[in-house]
Amino acid sequence: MSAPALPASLVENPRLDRWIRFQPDRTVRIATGKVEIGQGVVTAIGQIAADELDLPLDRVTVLSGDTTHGPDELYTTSSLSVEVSGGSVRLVCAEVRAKALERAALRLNCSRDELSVVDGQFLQNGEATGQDYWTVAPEIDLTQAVTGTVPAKPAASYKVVGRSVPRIDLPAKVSGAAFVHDFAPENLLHARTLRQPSRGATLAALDEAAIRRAAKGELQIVREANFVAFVSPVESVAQAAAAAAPLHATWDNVRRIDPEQQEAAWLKGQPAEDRRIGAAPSTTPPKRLVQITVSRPYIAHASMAPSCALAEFRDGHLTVWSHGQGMHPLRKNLAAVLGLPTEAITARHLHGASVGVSPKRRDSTE
Amino acid sequence: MDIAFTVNGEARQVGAPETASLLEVLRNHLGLMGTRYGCGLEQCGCCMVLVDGQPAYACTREVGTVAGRTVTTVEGLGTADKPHPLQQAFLDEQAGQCGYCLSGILMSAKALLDRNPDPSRGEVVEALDKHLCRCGTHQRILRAVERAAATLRDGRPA
Repeated sequence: MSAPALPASLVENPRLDRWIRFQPDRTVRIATGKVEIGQGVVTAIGQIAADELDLPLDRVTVLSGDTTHGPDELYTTSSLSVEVSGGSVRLVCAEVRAKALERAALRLNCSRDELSVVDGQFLQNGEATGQDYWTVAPEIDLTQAVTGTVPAKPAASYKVVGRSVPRIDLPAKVSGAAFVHDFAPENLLHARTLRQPSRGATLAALDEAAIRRAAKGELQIVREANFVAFVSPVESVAQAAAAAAPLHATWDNVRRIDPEQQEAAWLKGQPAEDRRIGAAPSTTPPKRLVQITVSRPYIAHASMAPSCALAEFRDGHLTVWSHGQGMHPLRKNLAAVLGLPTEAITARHLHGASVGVSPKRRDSTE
Repeated sequence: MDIAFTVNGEARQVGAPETASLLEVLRNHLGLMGTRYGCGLEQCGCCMVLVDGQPAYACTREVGTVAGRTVTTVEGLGTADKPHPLQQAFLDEQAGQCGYCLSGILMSAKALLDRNPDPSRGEVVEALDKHLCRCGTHQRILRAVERAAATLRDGRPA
């Protein structure tokens, strides 16, 4: 029998220990490359793991968006997280549960069929055995690749999936610090950037002295071609510099956008290539035909919060905390931009604001 | 210069320019990170706090103007372990998606329920009109405020 096709995430990240770890405090840590942007995915993935491992939800923790310990699942987009990451976690958990039961049966010198799992403990014909996931975990080789051959549970047996459970990230968000913006270690430097007026614009001149006067405080100006950042130990100084900077910057190659360009009529007048999406309509004439033309202006996928990231460069290693939607791609991009080897960079996800209606955000790769 | 005011029931003194924003002082001087920076222009309501019980945008409010006054932030409502009935109602209704707007909304809701324990749906909508939520959690937020109002009324001596 040939192995079933694995979800893309498992093909890219086959090792079981990329996905699951038994913790000394009798919890199980599930790792996902998908991140929370208000859609509840971290809670959903926890639910999937809890059911497949026969654990209550509070014994499952979810590590999300971590290049050191978690799988590379590219970006959190296209409403694919539960299908792809959840599907992967389900297969991994089914396989690890089977391995754990196999070990327990060996230890107890019994048949696997005599064993059941309740709250992570292995019962033999309903009786406690003293064995559980955590006692047999040291004997399970999680460096092995997932095979995908262990069937997941039938949907009818789910106890946690399909039930509405409270989001695990919400209590922090209604009571205090919860977002990447809220983590401020000692000796933090604040930075703000100067925005290009349009893509492709080039910086002809920058009156740094005028910006320093407006900033009124300790300020470092970082320039790299058309990129400018204002750095200060005092956030309001960096803010004041960035607020004043556009007045003191001269740009070439600025592309001006005509307000007419946001009208549907303008758009329809542009060269286009027509392509059909979906099946051709039926050739049978409809009983009654309604035709309507609908247009809407462009809508910004603007986030409620400013984009924000935290970076620490220590002993040649860069750690970045970001609310971006893909930590592994971010690490790769940072390596390319900074000329560092990928292994010298760790990217970790922390929460940020979303636009909710669509995970496609203007800040997704910033 | 030193500015003295009461934050969440505690007397505090901060060395900051009078023109510094209340938001910056709360976050960077006092470490109260629950009040959030959204737009910085009084357009989104993420930074709403209470000054002497009235909703105020902390992003544009100069800290010098709160000298001697009482400021309440979301940390002054309750904690994740011991939530205020409003916070609990938001959790009960799961009234949050990304959650960035919630601390500001909670403060406006607090001011509303303090002055009007039994608001109509229209009065809740009006009190929260200055707040943006881009995720689309509006209906759950309205239900949460109504649920909190009911809880607070039940707990009150007749």
